[in-house]
Amino acid sequence: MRFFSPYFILPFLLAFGAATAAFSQTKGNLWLATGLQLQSGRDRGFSPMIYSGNRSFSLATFGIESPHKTETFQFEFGYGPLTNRFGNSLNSLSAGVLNYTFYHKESPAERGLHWGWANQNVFNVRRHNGFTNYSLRYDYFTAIGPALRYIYPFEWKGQSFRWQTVAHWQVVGFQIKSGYIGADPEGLSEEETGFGNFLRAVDPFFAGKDWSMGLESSLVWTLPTGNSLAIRYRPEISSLGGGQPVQRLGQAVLVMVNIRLW
Amino acid sequence: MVKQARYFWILVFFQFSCEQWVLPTAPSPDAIEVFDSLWEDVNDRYSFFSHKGIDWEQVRETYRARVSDDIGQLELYELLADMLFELRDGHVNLSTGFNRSRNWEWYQEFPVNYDENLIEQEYLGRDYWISGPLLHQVLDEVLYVNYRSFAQRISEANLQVVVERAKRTRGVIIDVRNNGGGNLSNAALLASAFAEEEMEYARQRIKSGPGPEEFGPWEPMVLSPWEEDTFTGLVIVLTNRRSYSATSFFAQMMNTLPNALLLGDQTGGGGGTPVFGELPNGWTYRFSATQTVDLENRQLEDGVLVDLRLDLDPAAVQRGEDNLIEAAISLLRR
Repeated sequence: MRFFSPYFILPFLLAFGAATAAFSQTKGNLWLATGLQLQSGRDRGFSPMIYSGNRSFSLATFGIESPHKTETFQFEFGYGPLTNRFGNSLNSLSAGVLNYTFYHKESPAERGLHWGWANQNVFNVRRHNGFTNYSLRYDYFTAIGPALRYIYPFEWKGQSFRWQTVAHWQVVGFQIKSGYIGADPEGLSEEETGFGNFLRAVDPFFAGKDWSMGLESSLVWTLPTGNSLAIRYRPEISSLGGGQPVQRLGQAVLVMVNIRLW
Repeated sequence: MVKQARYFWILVFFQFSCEQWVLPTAPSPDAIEVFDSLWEDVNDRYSFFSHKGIDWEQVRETYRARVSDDIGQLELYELLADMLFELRDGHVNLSTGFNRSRNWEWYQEFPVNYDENLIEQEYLGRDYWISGPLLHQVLDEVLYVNYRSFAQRISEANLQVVVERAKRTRGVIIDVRNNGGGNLSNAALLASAFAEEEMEYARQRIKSGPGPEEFGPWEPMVLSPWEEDTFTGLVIVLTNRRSYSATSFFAQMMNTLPNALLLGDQTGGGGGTPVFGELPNGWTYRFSATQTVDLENRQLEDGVLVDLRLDLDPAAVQRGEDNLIEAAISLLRR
């Protein structure tokens, strides 16, 4: 977890920014966002019941825009209690990194439709508050798939705005999730070597059996200083099949601040 | 540009239409759905069907015929409780707001072999030591320790006191009769104070799929000596049929130690670690999802056998004696 610490991220971004600033045609941006996420989910390892609730949700996004492509690295963190319709509760925590690369060689970076790809890495852990044993379960996946971005800039009352929607769909990757009963994945301790156990615990992630897709729609107000304020609506769904299936639906509303790094 | 924007609205629509598909609605609380949910979860995750020779399909046929949509809540509870009773397992409960089902036959049909008042009056007396949940008293140069629930946490400081006192005696009696279990870590900590070296005491496997024989591999359960000085003198553990669950595990740990002896009646069992679940109407339940065997492949679910079988003698009780404690003292002083 310490690698997600802001003490690590900020110096890394600044150092990375300083290095890339040499390329005068690039732009560097840092987005910080916080808000609420309404999450609903079901883990059949716990029960067939759906658990929902509002969680705190935060993002830190670092973006580099060059003439032909834009890359963003988004660090995400969410935490909060979820309850079912009878009041039983669990605590849900998630942390992840979502990377996008969009290509705009043929069109301007600041408007239009851009294709690209996304890489998503998410770790989810939940602890059931009503179960004495086997109350902890988790899942993790890393996947890659196509992404799409649409930017529409406009002026309103002399101010600069833009609408931006980003969509991603994860197609192929790998996953690790809690076992049929216990927290540890099946096969985790069957072999002597750590790497052998890791391989036994890993399952493939592929679209059709597993799903992860999301949208990020933002209304951005560009200030005269070059920095920006924004609100973002972010629906996402994910489903990990096999063993005890895990399904999740999230809808986050975030307030964002953009700092132009260079 | 307008055409491009249209693609996005299609994408948004697609995303929201996936909601029901990815996240199905919660099951309905209808009686039949509640029954099926419980039966299926037990069918998939319960660990002792083969060991106990239970025909769960037959159980379903018997009980499902009695479920109807207009069945009352109390009637449904009783029906489900009766169905779960067929598992003959003390780790099986159905909890509702108004009642909690259980099967306590693992001790109810056997001698009690324990009289707490007698122990308080004749053995602990008025000046016994209380170290956390451990009640202890020196009796004829033997340290008698009474521990009533493994749910009560033992600290290392508590244990240190007991070990130091034990070292000044000729042996220790640990009385876990009527101790219905609790936290396995307390059992392991207490046993670790009497272990000289690391040793395997049992093996456990966990359900890994819905088939009745789908289990993960057998994993060794290991007892490690306490970090501090351990007591390696003689230890006698008193058990009865109400020694259950974590207490059975404790008895098995002590059973493997060369310096320990079990005396009394076998433990009640409880060798399967319970997993929890909840029904579409909000009721919760638990049942065994693991199997644990001793070093001779005997299921702890059937109880841990004692080295010296002895029942509490009513005539001794009349005389103000617990003949199990007396026998243990006699053995340790020998």
